[in-house]
This record gives sequence, C-alpha cells and structure tokens, in this order.
Amino acid sequence: MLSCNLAGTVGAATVVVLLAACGKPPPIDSVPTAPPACEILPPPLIMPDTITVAIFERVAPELAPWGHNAGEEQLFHHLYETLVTVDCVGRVAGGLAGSWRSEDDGRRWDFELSDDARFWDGGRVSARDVVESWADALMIDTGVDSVGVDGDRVVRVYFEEPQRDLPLIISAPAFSVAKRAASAVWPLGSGPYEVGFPDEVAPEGGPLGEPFSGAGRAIELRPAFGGERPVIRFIEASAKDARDLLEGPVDLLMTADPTVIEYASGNPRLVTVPLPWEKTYVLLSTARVLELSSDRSPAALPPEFLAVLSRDAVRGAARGSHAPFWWDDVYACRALADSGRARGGPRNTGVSSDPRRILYDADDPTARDLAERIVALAATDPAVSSEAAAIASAVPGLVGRLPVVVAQGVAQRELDRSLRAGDDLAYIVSLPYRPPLPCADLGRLFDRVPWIAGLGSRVSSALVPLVDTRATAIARRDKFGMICDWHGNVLILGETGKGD
Amino acid sequence: MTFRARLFVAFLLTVLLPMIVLALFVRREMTDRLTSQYERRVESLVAGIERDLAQEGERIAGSVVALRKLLAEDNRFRRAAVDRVENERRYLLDYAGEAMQVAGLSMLQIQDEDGRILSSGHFRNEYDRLDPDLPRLLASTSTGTALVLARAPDARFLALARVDSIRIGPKRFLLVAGLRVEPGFLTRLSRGADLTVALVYPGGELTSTVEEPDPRTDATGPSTEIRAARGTRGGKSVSEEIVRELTLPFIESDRGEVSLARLRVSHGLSELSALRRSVDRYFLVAGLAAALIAIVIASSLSSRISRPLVELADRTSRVDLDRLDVDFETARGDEIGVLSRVLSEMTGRLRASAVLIKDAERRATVGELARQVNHDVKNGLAPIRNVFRHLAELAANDPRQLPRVFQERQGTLDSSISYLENLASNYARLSSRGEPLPIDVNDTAHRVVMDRKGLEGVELLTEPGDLGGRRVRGDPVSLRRVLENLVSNAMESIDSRPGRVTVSTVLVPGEGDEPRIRITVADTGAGMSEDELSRIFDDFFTTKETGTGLGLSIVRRLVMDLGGTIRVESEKGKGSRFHVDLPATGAR
Repeated sequence: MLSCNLAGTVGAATVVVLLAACGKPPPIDSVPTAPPACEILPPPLIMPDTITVAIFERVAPELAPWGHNAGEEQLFHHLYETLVTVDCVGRVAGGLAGSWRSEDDGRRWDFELSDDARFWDGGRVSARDVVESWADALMIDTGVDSVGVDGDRVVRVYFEEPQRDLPLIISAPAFSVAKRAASAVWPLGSGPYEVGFPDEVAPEGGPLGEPFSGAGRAIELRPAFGGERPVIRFIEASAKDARDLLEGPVDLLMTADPTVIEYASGNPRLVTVPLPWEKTYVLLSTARVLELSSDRSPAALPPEFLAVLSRDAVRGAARGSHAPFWWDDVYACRALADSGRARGGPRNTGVSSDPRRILYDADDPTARDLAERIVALAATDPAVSSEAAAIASAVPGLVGRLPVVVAQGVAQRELDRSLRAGDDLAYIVSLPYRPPLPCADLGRLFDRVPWIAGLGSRVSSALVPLVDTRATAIARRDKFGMICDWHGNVLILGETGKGD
Repeated sequence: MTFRARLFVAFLLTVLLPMIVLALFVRREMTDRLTSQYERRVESLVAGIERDLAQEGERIAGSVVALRKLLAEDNRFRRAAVDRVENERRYLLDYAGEAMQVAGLSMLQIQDEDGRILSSGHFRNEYDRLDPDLPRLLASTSTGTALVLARAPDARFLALARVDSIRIGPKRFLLVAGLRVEPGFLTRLSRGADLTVALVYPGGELTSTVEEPDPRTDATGPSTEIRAARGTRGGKSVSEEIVRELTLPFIESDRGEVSLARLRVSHGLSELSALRRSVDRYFLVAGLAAALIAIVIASSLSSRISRPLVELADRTSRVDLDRLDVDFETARGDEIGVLSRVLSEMTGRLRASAVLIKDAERRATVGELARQVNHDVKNGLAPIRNVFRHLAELAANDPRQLPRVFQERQGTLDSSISYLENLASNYARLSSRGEPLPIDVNDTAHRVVMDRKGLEGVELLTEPGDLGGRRVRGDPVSLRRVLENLVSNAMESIDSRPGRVTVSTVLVPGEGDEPRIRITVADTGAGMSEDELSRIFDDFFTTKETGTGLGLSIVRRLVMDLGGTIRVESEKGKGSRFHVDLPATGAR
C-alpha cells in the first residue's frame, strides 16, 4: 500500500519504522520539541492559500472540543489544545502547560499554564477554564480521580493510581481545553486555527463555486493569532467514492478503503501515508472461555497464520497482531483485578441447540472479512489445511462440527446485546490498538463482555488477537505538511512548521 | 299420500329434475373446458421453462466464455495464479468477486486442477478450500448445467451452475459459475399468479410463492427452504391442481454424487372451484325458489281442489239411513259442484227410499209382530185350553176328580197367565206415549242405575258428564225404557262375576252448531261376535234363552223416535259398549 513516489516511500518507510516502536511508555521531557520524525509529510516551500480536507462524518460543534468520530477529531485537533502533547513516538511536549511535576508518588500531577496560553479572543487561559473544559472527560473512566486548581495558573490532577510517568491521557482529545460562550456555536479554543464562521456552520453546498460529488457542509478554519497559515476547509463528504473527491479539489482525506488507497498509490499527484496502527481485531469465543474456565489451555494462533490472515483475508491495511498487548497484564490494573467482576459464564455453552454463529458489526468490513475467513476454515478439514488446524486448536468446537458455523453481520446494538450475554459461538470485535489508559479500556471491555471478567490472569488468553489495522492519509503531493501525534491525529503544518 | 302432497311432489319433480340435470351438465362442461385450458397453460409453461433454463445456462456459459477471454489476457491474474507472485495475491483473491459482479453472476469460483479454490466471488475468504467434486460432477452432467448448493458466509444458496476451464501457461484452471435460484427466479418463470413453480431437491423445496428466506437459518439446510413438498404427481391432474414436472441434475458435492431435482409446475384449480361453487350456489338458490313456488302453488291448488273434496267426503261419510239430512247444496259450477249436486240428488232419493223402507220395515215389523203375537198368544193360550179340556172331561166323566185335578193344573194356568201378561207389557213398549219434554239425561241415567242396583257381583256405575245444561227433547218414558233395557242387557251379559256396568254421558259435536248428548252403556260382559253384532238390532233376535228378541229392536225404535242414533262396539269375551247419540237442546 505504499506510494510509488520515492520521497513518499522513504517518508512512509520512516514512519513505519518509527511506529513499529510504538507501545513503549514515553519518557518525561521537560523541554518539549516537535521531532521531525513525526512529520509524515514534509511541508513544501510554498503553501497554498487553502487546503481542503474531506471528512466522512458529520461534525457537531456542540461536542467540541472532544471529538466522537474521526472527522471531529481531525477538525477539533486544529482548534483546541491540551496541556501537553505527545508525539508519534511518545515524546511529551508542552501544549498549554509550560511545565509540570508530580507529587505524592505520582498520584498528583501539577501543570503550570504557560504565559502565552491564550484563547483566540486574546483572553488568557486560566486553570479554571481548564477544569471546566474537562467536565465531560471526568465523567468517564479515565483514571483521573479529581482535578483542582492552585491559583489561576496551576491545574492539579489527582489520579486513581500512582503514575510514575506523565499519564498520556492528559494529551488525549477528551482533555482538550475550550471555553464556552453562551451565544456561540463554537467554543473558544487556543489552537493554531479558529473557526471562520464562529456563530454558524457554512451553508450547504460546495463552497468552491461548483458542486462536487458527495459534498456536504463546509467548515472553514482560519489561522488564529494572525498566523501565516493556509485556510483549511473541512468538507463533510458523504460515503460516496472518495476517488471522486481526490479527482476534485480535496487535498487530504483519511481512509482504509483499499480501492481508494490503491488508486492513490498509482496517482503521481497524490501521496499515501499509512497512519499509526489504530485498531486490533480480536476473536472472542465462548467455547474458548469455557475451556479457560476449566483450567484448560487452548492454543494461540501462530504468527504465520495471522500474517497470512492479514495479508489475504483482510482487504484493508492490516498486519498480523503480535505481542505485547495492552491487555496482557491485567494485574497492573489493581483495582480491576481486585474488583471481583466475575459475572457468570456465557449463555452459549456449545450444546447442539445453541447458535453457531460468528457475529460482527455489519458496518465493519474488516470484521466481516475476518469472520468469513474463520467460517471458511471451520468448514475445512484440519488434516489438509494448517490454517484450519490452527483455528481448530484456538477455538474448541469451531471446526468439524455440525451445524456448520456461519458468519452474521448485525447492528452494533445487537452485537453488544449478544456479547453481553454470550449468546453466540464467537465474535469479532475491534479494540483500540494503543489506548491512552489501558486499565480504563479493560474495565470497559469487562462491562461489554462480562463473561470474561472472572478469568483473572487468564483474561488475556480469552482474547485471540487477529490483525491490527490502520487508516491511510492520502494527500495532494507537495501542497502541505503533516505531523501525527501519539493518538493518531494529524495536524496540517503551516509555514512556521508547527501547529502551535 | 294426500292430494296436496302429490301435487307438491309433482311440481317439485317437474321443476327440479330438469334443473338438476342442467346444473350437472353445466358443471361438467365447465370443468372439462377449464381443466383443458389449464393443462394447456401448464404444458406451455413447462416448455417455456425448459427454454428459459436453457437460456440461463447459455447465459452463464456466455459469461464464462467472456471471463475466460479476460483471464487469458489478464497479466496480473497470470502472475498471481501461475507465477504465484505474492504481491498479486490479493488481486487474485479479489478477482472472482469483481468478475462475478461484472458478469452478472451470483456464483463464481476459480479453482486449480486439484480443486483448490483460488478465488471465490460469492465467498471471498473461502480461498484455499479443496472442492474437487463440484467441477467434476458438473462436467459429468449431460447438459453441463446443474443445480448446486453453494456456500456463502452466512448460509447456503441454490444456484444454477456450469463449469468451464481455461489453460494459462502450464496450468489449467476451472471456472464454476452460476446464477442464484431463489423464489423470485421461480416467480419469473411462472409468469402468472395461478401458476406455481416449485423446485424440489434433496433436502428442501423452493416455490415461487415463498418470500425471501431469512438468512439466519440453519446452515445445514438450504437458505431457500420451507413448505411441505407436495409429492410427485407424475403429470396427472388431481382434484386440487394440475401438475407437470421436469427434472434437473442436482449436485450433492457433500456426497459426491449427482441426483435429480424436480421442477414442478402446477396450476391451481381454485378458480375452477370458485366457479363451481358459484354455479352450485346459483342452482341451489334456483332450486329453493322452485321448491318454494311449488309449495305455494301446491297449497293453493289443494286449497281449491282437495278441500272441497275432503268436505264432500266428510259429508258423505255422515250419510246414513238414520242421517239423510246432510246438505250437499253448492253454488260451484266445476266438477266438484257437479259431484255435490249428484250426491245431493242421491241423498234425496235415499231419503225417499228410507221413508219407504221405514214404512215397509214398519209394516214388516207389524206383520212380523202380528205373526209373533199370534204365535206367542197361541203359545200362552194352549196350556190354558188344555187344562180346561181336561177339566171339562172330568166334569163330564168323573166330577169327583175335579178339585184334585184343578189343584194339580192350577200352576200351569198361573204360568200361562203370567206369560201372557208379560207379553202384553213388552208389546206395550213398542209404542211411545206422551208429549216431547226436556229430559235431564244425567238424572234419568242416575235413576235407572239406582233402580237397578243390588245385583250381586256386578258393579253398576254412573259417570255423568258436563252437558252444559243441555237436555234431550222427547218422551221421558221412552228414554228411561231405552236405558233400562240397555242396562238390563249389560248386566245380563256379565255371566262371570265380578263385572261392571258403566253408564256415562258426554257432550259430542253434532252436525252444524248443535251438539249431541252421547249416552254410553258399557259392560265387561261376554261381548258379541261379528255375526251377532250385525243382527243385534233385528226384531226378535236374541241370544238369551228366554228373551223375546224385541229388546234392542225396541230400543232402536225408541232412540229413533227421540231423533237419535244408536250403535254398538263389542268384542267377544271383553264386553260391549252401546252409544246412544241424541240431539241436545239449548242450555237452560
């Protein structure tokens, strides 16, 4: 899936190498810089006046600064800042905070706001502004116990667990800072861009004077603080063919569609840049969990199987998943391990009357590909197929029994309902590849799949990793630069080379 | 059967029989014609389906031929499938899916010579699965086209498939392509709402009337199932539908063999049944209407014909020598009127004859009576004469013996004199005397019974009825004589004690508005034979040793004088019942 262009290939290869090292906890760096290694697209010498970015989800300003879909995250990332930033390799740099320190063995972290932390209207960002921005984030399980202020400039964050290193969760989009004004559609931000029409979203239709395929609303971002940066126009595009957008005025879009990626790869005017690994797909099997509960040890899937699976079965950018996984050390989440969350076993116990389905989210093509491949292997004789033998070892009762297993795509709600009860034989679900706070995500997973919670240290064996996937950024060549951060968000580089 | 009933039946038969015949004929003709029409439609459709299936097979073949050409020219496919270039593997895996959609197929799998699936359009991730039997069995069919159960990720589906092959470089590849067979496919074949096309194959059935199947079905069975199989009809028309069949090869790759599927075309006969029901309904309504009309006409005619006849018959039945006052007068001019007038004339003649008969009877009776009186008086006088002759002889010859002989013969004289007195009394009863008076019948009966009580072993009862104050007008003595005689006869008939004699009265309907008083004297005596019954009222007929035989004839005469009638019912050994019907006058 690499671009044919040499420069793009080298850049992408660099990113790939760097991203392969992802997963390690970042060191604390009190002198933050933006390392060039996270530059996934180097900025050209001459920047255009306008850059058009296509997003495929609808943006809800009322949810700012915390985006709930990929489009919102991309857009909000240019408008709102966090106290700190973490680059693609995990190096921490200052954002709104100029310095920080830990107290109480890492249970409390104090962040001092920098002097030039200001909103677009020039007003200084206060500690109270920060705390008020985090109201929604504090309502979910992030590991943050409470927050407070010390004067006007210091934000105090108390964590549930001691944090030896700076918790990366603080750099997550959920902890972006914004200030709501009563009458404004968009909250005030401190990022390098501000909304061009703060009180309303641009009217329907293409803003470029001519309609183009799949265009919806346009949201224009203008450089804040008088910066010399191009205007960024985000277009809410429908789910129609992204290639038409690239043929038109769109300069940047993110996609996992292999057809679009292949098209862009062969287009000399475009460059494709794989983004950080985003999701890990796992197989959850009620039969496997029952084996584990009986102290038996079903096998794991061999790496070569996963490599072939990712190469052949999945039609997007994928690789075979490999250890370590963030859910491996459940005892690191002490509170989780001690919580005694065992809530009974799955309803499907493998008797003949139980359904023999592999369920997946009908809107997830990767999950569909994986489920169908497993179904195909379930009907294959393990004696003649090593893949079938591998899957038979990993999932008891899947291969060679009647009735034959089928794959079924269902709506998310139905999937969640069945998962919670463990009604079906197996499930293909996607998990974050590298969640900011693994224990919180593990807790959410236990809530979603309660019948694995009682496995204790064997929880990690209940999840059978399959493939990791990621999106690809497709950009118009030599038009602008981009960097990506730890969370996979990209930032379009302006003339100064930093989105500050 | 009454005249009215005969009329009714005649009308019904006249109307309904032809109607039933007509209905049966219409039904049969309609059935035959429509059935023939349906059969022709089914035959035509079967022929059309055969052509359509052949065309579908050719279409598949045409798509495969085009695909072969594209494959032969496709370098990427060659690199992927022949040269096994890793970079092109995904192209190979996706190839069948894209080609299948472009070619308008529902099923496409590309296999190597070993039967390994290299690329599958309907089940993309089924690659590397071994399925050597499917192409082999497809190739073994005579037409090259067969039904198969293809596997999809969520279920199986039925497809009409063909196989072809292509050689690229040193390698040979098999192409199995097909079109999905689903209810919509069969519905398109059926081309009509009355025609149903059903496909019966091992393990299931598909009909043109089944909706799209729920994909979440048991994966062991086809996704296009349900409906009970209708059973092979063998091309015969049955009461519910007309069926024709044609067979198709069916690949059972799980079992590695080719069997047969049956494409059954049937035409429901619901329309015909509905027509029949309509015809039946209309004929039933017409039949009921005809029956109703027949009832009305029969009733009307019988009222006009049978009722007068019944009345005539009733009047005629009342005619008797003692009842010749029946009125047959009528104003009708039809045959019944003629009959009435004939009967009236006949009754008139009978009345005249009855008078003559009565006169003659009376004269005969008087003559007979005179002869009988002469006979009886001579019988009574004879012993007296004999005694006087004996005494005269003795007076002449031996006067000294006169007192003794008179003493001896005095009984004879007494007996004869008693006999003559009794005779005189009986004859006196033959004529009534006294003016007609209103007579209380219950009172008379009571008195008679009271006077007769005391006979040992015979119970004598009265059962006076409610006469409504009515009386009989006549000679009270005559009535009493009648009752005395009847009661006396009844008691004498009871020869074996105990017995019972009952005198009862009741008011009975009479001719016109005037009722009659019926006096019944019933006994539990010896009863009479038929012969005796026929002569019981004859003068001088008697069953008693000492009877004169005038009792009942006198009773009959007296009853007639009172204006009434008398009849008897009797059964030998069980008793007799005498019924005297007398005209009643108004209530007091």
